[in-house]
Amino acid sequence: MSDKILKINDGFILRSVKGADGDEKFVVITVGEASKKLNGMITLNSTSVFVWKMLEKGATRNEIITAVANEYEVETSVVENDINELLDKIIKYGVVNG
Amino acid sequence: MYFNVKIADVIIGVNYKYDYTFKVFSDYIVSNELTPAFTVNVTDEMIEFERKVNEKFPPSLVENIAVFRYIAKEVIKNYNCILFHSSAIAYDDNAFLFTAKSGTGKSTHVKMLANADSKISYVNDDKPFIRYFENENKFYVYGTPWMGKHNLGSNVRVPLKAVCFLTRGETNSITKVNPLDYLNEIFTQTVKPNEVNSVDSFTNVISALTTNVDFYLLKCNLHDDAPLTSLNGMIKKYAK
Repeated sequence: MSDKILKINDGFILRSVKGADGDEKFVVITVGEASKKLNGMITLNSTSVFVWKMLEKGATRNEIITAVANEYEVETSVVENDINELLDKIIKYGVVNG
Repeated sequence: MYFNVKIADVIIGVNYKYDYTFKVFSDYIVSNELTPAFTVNVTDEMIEFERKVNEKFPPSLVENIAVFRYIAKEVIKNYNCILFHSSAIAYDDNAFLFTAKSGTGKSTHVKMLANADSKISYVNDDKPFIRYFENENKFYVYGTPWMGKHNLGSNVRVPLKAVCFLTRGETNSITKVNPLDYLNEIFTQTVKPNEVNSVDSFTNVISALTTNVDFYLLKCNLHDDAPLTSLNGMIKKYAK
């Protein structure tokens, strides 16, 4: 399971929306078949955006967990559960090939 | 049969079959001499789609909706124009969009507003287009043929000043808000692209909206003084 390369499925598109004070929020917009799996849009926090960008290129669970741990300068054990939970959720919604 | 219409300052050709479609568009028809930016050719598949959505209404009644759906998707692509489900009103040549989940009381509040001040007029009570002009850094709100069940609106264009989210409240209050906290509401009420190559222009328009237009949250009840809250707390602040 941990060696499988996970990738975002077609039709799920990450973009950002800007605000008047220069702030921005990241959103995922669905088009085509993807909009049947997930209607509407989702906003992502900064960790989710980081994970998403890895999934756009394709990455294994272990690669993602390691990268997030390095990004936040913590041990992998600190982030492992949360990242696995996030990945399980987006696989369940058909966003990523599971 | 064919006619040209001008909607959101875009000339659009329409190949149609049913007289009712002509009737729906009548206030927006322009000369056939003009060259359309694009043409809508209604197909049987488009009509069947609308019949499924609209409880099997006859083709003559849904053809105009099929045309509208096509136009809404097309203008996102190339004209920085999106459909924003809302009740759009004008005051002193300033437009305001009131938007809310269905059943919240948006139409009632806007109707009370229109009765409270004769300077208020409807641009479109249901499905206005809003279009971003980058050279002016400005949004305009447009009337369209689809104005809700009471047909409130007209073929006008008015500069957009603010968007107001409406919720029910025990007492009336209005506050300016950060639109980035209301992206879910914005995305729920706008017609989104269904093609990958329209996504960038859609998000650019949404970003222009959240950067350049003011957003408010109105909490209101149905008491007679409710419209004074949006009138004094928002609308009159932009008066010339």
